[in-house]
Parts: sequence; C-alpha cells; structure tokens
Amino acid sequence: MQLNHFVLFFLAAALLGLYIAGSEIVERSSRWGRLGRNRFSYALALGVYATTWTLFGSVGFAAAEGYDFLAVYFGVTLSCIAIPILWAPVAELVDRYRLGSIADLFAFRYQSRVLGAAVSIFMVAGLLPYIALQLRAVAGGAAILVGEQPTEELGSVYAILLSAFAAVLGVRYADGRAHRPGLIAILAFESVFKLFALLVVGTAALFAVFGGFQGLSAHLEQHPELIENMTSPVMGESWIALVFVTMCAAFLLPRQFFVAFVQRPGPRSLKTARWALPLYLFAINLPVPILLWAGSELATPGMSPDVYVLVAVQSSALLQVLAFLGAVSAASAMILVSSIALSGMVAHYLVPPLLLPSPQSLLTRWAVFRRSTIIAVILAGLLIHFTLPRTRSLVDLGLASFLAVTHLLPGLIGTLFWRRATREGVLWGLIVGAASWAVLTATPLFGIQVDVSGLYALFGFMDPAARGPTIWLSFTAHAFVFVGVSLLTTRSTEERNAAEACREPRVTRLLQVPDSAEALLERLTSYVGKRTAIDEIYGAAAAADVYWPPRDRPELLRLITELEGRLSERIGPLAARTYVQGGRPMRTDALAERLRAFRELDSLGAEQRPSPAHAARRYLSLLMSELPVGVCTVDDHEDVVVWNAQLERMSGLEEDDICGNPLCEIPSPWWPLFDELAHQPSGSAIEREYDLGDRKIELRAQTAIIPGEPEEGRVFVVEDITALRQLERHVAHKDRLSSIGTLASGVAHEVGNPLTGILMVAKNLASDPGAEDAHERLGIIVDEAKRIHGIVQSLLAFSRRDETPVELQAIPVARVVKAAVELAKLEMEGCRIDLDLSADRPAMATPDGLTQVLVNLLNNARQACPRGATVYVRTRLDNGTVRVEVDDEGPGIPEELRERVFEPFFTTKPDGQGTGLGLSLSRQIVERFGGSLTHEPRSPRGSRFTVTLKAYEN
Amino acid sequence: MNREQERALLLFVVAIVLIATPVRALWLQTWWSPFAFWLSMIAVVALVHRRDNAA
Repeated sequence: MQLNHFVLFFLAAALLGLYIAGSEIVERSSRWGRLGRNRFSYALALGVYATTWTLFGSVGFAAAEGYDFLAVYFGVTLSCIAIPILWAPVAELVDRYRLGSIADLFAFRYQSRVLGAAVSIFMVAGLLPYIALQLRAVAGGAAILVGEQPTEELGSVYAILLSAFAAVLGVRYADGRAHRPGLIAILAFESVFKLFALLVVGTAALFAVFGGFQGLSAHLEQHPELIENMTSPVMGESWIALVFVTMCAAFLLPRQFFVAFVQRPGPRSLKTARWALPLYLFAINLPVPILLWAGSELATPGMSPDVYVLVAVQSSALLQVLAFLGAVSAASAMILVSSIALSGMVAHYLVPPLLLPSPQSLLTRWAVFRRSTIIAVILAGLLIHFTLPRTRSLVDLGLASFLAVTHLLPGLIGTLFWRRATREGVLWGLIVGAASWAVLTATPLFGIQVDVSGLYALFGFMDPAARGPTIWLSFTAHAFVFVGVSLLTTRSTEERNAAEACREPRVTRLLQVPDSAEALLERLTSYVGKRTAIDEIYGAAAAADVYWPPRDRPELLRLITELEGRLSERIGPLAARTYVQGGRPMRTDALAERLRAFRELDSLGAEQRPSPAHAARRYLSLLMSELPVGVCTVDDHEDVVVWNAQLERMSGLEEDDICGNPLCEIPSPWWPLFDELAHQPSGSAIEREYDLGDRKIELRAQTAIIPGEPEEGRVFVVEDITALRQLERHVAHKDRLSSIGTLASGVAHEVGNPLTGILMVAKNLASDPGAEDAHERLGIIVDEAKRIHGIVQSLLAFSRRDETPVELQAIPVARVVKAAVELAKLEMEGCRIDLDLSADRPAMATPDGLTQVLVNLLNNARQACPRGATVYVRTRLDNGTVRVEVDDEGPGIPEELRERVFEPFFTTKPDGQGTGLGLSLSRQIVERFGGSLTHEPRSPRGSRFTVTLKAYEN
Repeated sequence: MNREQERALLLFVVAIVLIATPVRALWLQTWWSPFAFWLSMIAVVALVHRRDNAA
C-alpha cells in the first residue's frame, strides 16, 4: 500500500476524533463514566509520561547511550516507590486546598503570587521545547512514511491537527471541575493504544528481522559489541543524573502533576499507581532494544535512530501506520494535558496582572481566559517547533524540559519537610536555577553556545558535553541559594501559618470565615459583583447540598468550603481565599485550630502517634478536659480556644460548637459573665447568680491574662457554687437561730432595762392613779414599750429566712435618697447634711428596702457625728453600677472591730442606743437586690458606708 | 511517619543503592538482565503494596 500524506492525515484525524467521541461518551454515560474513575485507568492515564520520546526517541537515545535510556524510567520507578513519602502528602494538600497546579502549591505554601508567577513562567519556558518535540516527532515520522524529507509545511500540517485536537478537548476540560472521567478515560485508552502499537511493532520486527528470539540471540552472539554498547554507558556519570532528573519529572512535570494529583479519582488510586505505572513503563520499553537492533540492520546510512521504530517494520505499511498512530496518540495526549496544566498557571498568575482590570473580570471571564491560554500555549509550542534547529535530537529537547522541572524540587522539599524555607529562598533559588538552565541547557538548543568549560573545570568536571555536570551544577547552585537565602530571611506570619498547614494538612482546614450567610454574600459581592456572587454561592450551595440560607454554622462552613474550592480551581487558591475571607490573614496559628488538630491526631490509632510530643499533648489535653472546674480560654482575637468538659457539663454547650468562635457568640449567661470578667484585672473574681429557666445557678468566676507572643489571651475559671451557697445559707440560718439563744442574755439586757422602767412607772401609777404627772408617766411607759417592740421586730426580721424572690424594679436612686434624707432629718439635730446627687441613674432595688437601708445608715452617721459635723451623701456611677456613699465625720471604727461591723448584735453605741442588728439587716436587704454594702474608713477620720446597686439597663 | 511510609523509605533507600551506586553492575550482565531487575523491583513494590493494603 502506497502511503501518502492525505491517508496519514486522515487516519491521524480519525484517531483523534475517536478520542474526542470517546471522551463525550464517558462524560455522558454513567456506565462508561466508571472507566474514568477506575484506579487502573488512573494508573494508565499516568502513562501520559510516555510521549513520542518513548515511541521514537527512546530508540534514538538507546542508539547513542545504550541502557541510559532506561534511566528515564528507573527514575519514575524510584519516584513511585516513594509515593507514600513524596506523592501522597502533595496529593493531600492538593485535595484539601483545591490546588490546580504546582504553581498553586508554591503560591499557597509561600503565600506569594509572585512565586506562583515565577513558577508559571519557568514551566511555560521549560515545557514549550517538549511540546515542540511532539510536533516534530510526528511530522518526522510522517515524512519517513511517505519517503520524503521533513519540511516546515509538513510539520505545520500535523502541528495544526494536534493543536486543534488539544484545543477542542482542552477547552472542554478547562472548566475547572476537579475530576473529569472523560479525560482520564481517553488518557488511559491512548496509553493502551501506544503500548499495543509498540508491542506489536516490536514483536513484528523481532520476527521479521531476526526470525524470533533464537535469531536475536544468535545475532547478539555474533555481535557482542551490541550488548557492550548497551550496558557500558550505565556505569557512566550521566546515569545517576538522569535517574535523579526523571525521578523529579515523574510527578513535577505539569502534566504529571495535573493527572497524578488534580485528576486523582480517590486515595487508593495513588497506591495502585505505585506498581502499575512502573509496570506499564516496563512493558512499553521492552521492545526498544529489539527495535534498535532491527532498525540498525535495515536503516540506510545517515538515517536518524529516532525513526528506527518505523524503519524496523518497513516491510509492512500497516505496521508503520500503527507505529505512526501510536506516536500521534502519545503526542496528542501530551500536548492536551500539558496545555491544560500550563494554561491553568498562566490564567491564574500571568494573565490577571497583565490584562485584567479587576478581580471581577477574572471570575466572570475565566472560561474565556482559560481557553485562550490553552490555545496560546499550543501556538507558543508551534513557534518553538519552527524556531528550533533540526539538528537537536528528541532526547535533547525532552531532557531540557525535565531539567527545568527538577528546579521545583527544592521548593517542594520546603513545602513538605522544611518549615524554615522562605519565599525569598525559593524565589531566588528559582531565579538562579532558571538562569543556569537557560545558559547551560536552553540556549544550546537554539544553537547558541556559551563557553562554560572554565566553570566546569572549577568543579572538577572534565567533559562539558556530558549530561551530568550540567544537571549537577545547575541544581547545586539552585539548592545552595535556596538554603542560604532561606536561612538569611525570615518568614511572614502568613507564610509561617501556611507552612504549618502544609505540614499537617489532614487536620487543618483553617478557615477564617464570615459569620453569616449574608456576610458571605456581601463579601463576595464586594469583589465580583452581586450577580456573579449569587451565581457562585448558589452553585456552591447546590454542590454542597445546602439550602440557602444555611440553617446553622456547620452548613455555612460546608458552603464556604465548597465555594472556596470552586473558586480556587478557577482563580487560584490565594485569590479564592481573599474573596471568601476578605483578605484577612489566615490564622493557621489560631490556638483553637491547633488544639482541634491535636485532638484529631489523638483520635488516630496508637500506631500513628508514638512520639513523646504526642504523648505530652494528649496528657495536657486530658488534664484540661478532666479538671473539676470549668476552664475557658480565649486568644488575642477573643476567639474561644478551650472549653473543657466541666464547662460543657455546666453550660450544656459542646466544645465543638464553641471553640474557634468569638467569645461574644456564646449564649447568655456565659458571655455576660466572661465579658464582665474580661474588663477586670488579672486575678479578679466575681460571683453571680443566674436564672437558667428550669434552675438557678450561682457561679464564681476568676480570670487571668495569659502572657506570651503572639498568642496572648485570657483564661476564665468558673466554679459552680450553687450547692455550696445553699449549704452556707442553711448553716447561716441555723447559726442565726442558735445565735438568738446564745445572745438571749444580751437581748435580755436590752429588753430588761425598759421593762424595768415600765414596771416601776406602772407600779407608781397604779398606787397613785390621780397623780398630776400621770399623763407624763403613761408617755414613758409607751416610749419604753415601743423600744421593746422595736427590739423584738428586729430580732424577728433577722431570724426570718425569707427566700421569697424580691421583685426588683428600676427606681430613681436620687429621689429615694432625698426621701430617706428627709425622713432621717427629723433626727439630725446638730448635724448638717451635704447632698451631691448629680450622678443619677435608675438602679435595681425596691423603694422601701432602699429607704430602710439609707435611713439606717444616716441614723448611724448622725449618732457617730459630734455636734456641728457634716454627713456627706453622694451618688456615683461606676461600671454599670450605682453607688450611694454615706460619709460621717465621727471617730470612725477601730481597725480591730471593722471586720465585725456587719455581725448581728455587734454595736459600738452606748447601751440603749442600738441593737447591733441595723447594719446586718441592711446588708441582707442590699444583697437581695444583687448589690453590696461595704464599709471603709474615711480619711482623715470617720467612716464611709457604700451601697452598690446594679444600674438599670434599658 | 507511619508504617507504610517507613516501609516505603526503606524500599526507596534499597532501590537507590541498587540503581545509583556501582552495585548496578550486578544487573548489567546481559541485554535482558536490566529488564529482569526492573521487573523484580516492581514485583517487590507490588508485594509491599499488597501487605500495606492487608494491614
């Protein structure tokens, strides 16, 4: 069969059309869609690593450097062995933070869009030669098949065909959704197809040229130099460098990163790929030595070994077409995935700063940008294809790209293992690496030779043409600068937080989220406009299975997580976080989040937490949890960090609902209690009684400041003293009853004196009823009886255990004070009263009770004052309370007696002038108002009694 | 580092020794021995993978 360009082009177009149709079927059919979610399909899709380099270039590579060509696949095998160490943590980060590319990962870890842009530029520059390689290999293969020399026109035709395919599917899959089964399915299918093509062609060559394995063995026995040529280069210096470079390329090449991490169907897929991908590469490389030896036998002098695959089966046009289509398949898949991956980087980090006026444009027109950038990337590859000299082998072009991605390794190591790495270190390392790559690797591709033999000699490399020195020099310079600059610079808070998040991705989502659905909508609207914001939020709500507006905080968090992820896929993680979180710095250092992380770590199996640090954390966590007092701590942002088990029991509020939220969101009475304490100095304590509806609770709470940078906060220790206070009241009641008996003798003295007077006067009056002063004597009896009555009433009042609730009302304190002064004035002979009632605010009390207390205090003051002295009465407002101060200019209370001043029956007054019950009764009354009555000495002399009442809150 | 990662690290170190040190001369005896070595390495990885899954 005579082959011509029309037939080849038609067949290539038909194959690519088949791929497009296949992807549509898989996307639309749930039955076929399973193919794209299968872990074996995923492992096969990772076979996109094998490009035309493998199909055509490996034979050429083997011809020049023997089994060194296997280094390109041994490196991948090593990388796959390290999947649990290297790939799995990256996959977890990509999943958790919805990252779309290696540039996203770097931008996220180092919190730098500039770094994302630098990685994007480097990757575009590094990968374009590789895309050109694919176009060139296909055009070269077609030329061989029709018996012509490759021309620019021929290259252009196939380049346009492949570009059109990549553009059609690339646009289809550039819509930002994380996993697309159609893409995985066609990548898996094309991997199977190219494997099939190479195995069939290799087997055919084996039998056509050598007559089978026996013939091959005989041929090799006759030509032992063939085996020597294959094995001896492996012991050379290029081998290790190639293994190293390809080990990095296996997962850092943008297309590998995209398939391995962004398109990963599930966690098990990566484990399967660990052995399935090396096995696939093993199978596809088996025919390479056979094709080399067969091609050598049949090739004409001067023919490039890169096309030996076609030469080896030159007797069969059908097999040649099969090999050609295998190359077309490999090239198309590589260009497709590379262009999608690179366009994501360009659209996130390069286009917006250059072309877009506002963030809104980015989100509303992202699809246009992604599609435009895909086509732009492919066109750039075309441009390189036309520009590159044709003297360069496929391996040279491929290795240039591989070496470029090797320079991502230091930054990745910093991401996964070295928290001290800084964005400056990575950026400067990348700049040095890119510069050395450009000088040592890229410019020679274009025929520009820079003499670096002196530099090579400086490091002991004798052969500048060898591959090893170029790789080691370039990478070592990068690594040195990366480490050096990282050690010399400091990390920003955001960077430190992100580094922490990258170290323990499984336990930190670390959202600083809007407080409500409305706030979320408002925030997003401020960036992208209301219409887009509503569309995005509704889309995320549907995906997260949340009805708008979210009913509770967990639903809101689910919606926000989904929304941020969806935005991140399209506009990058940094921009998405800014849109959702309003540009606030991410607080991955929030203590609440850390402790939550520790708890999650503790919940892992014992096998997974053997470290002393974990044991210590667990011990402290348990200690805090099991303390018999309630403990609540807040950080410097007043977000709750600790809400221990005792506090859960006391409040009925669960730790998960409280921790991480602002203190002010805790329901009453806890928030008012903590808020009141938060305004007190460290070490302060207060006692409050609260009505929880079904029960009353009395709390004693203390606070202290937690010192330290940057996590200064407060600790609140809360004790439920309800039972204790009830017991105290019971004991006090018993005490009061017993004290009546104990103090009966004292009372008898008080009562006995007037009673004796009454008896004497009554007797006299009985013996002389008509006496002139009978009226006066009866007055004495009445007065003395009143005195006795007063004493008895006071005793009854004191001993009464009145627990009926007092109905407090907002009373005008100044007016009540004036009324009390008016009452007390009657007995104020010889004293002046100085009133200052300027601070007037309603307080919670009862008018009668407060009047009784004030009259009692004023009477005490009057009795303490010498003639002509002044009693000062003032009102003051202080921190939500109203205070009434009654000052006298008397001799004051001796220091040794001050503690007893509120004890029942304690008095400093002369006999007959007081029962010692007034102050204790007054204090009892004020405390029932929720206030306090205190005494303090007044300077220079006298006493001050202060009534403190809660101010009325409107 | 969990058990799976520890096993992977051990395997990785052994593989590096076999691939990147002069020890590699051992599997360079014939034209097919590099492939045999490669396949046996994949088999070991598959076995370890199976053991990890079973665990």
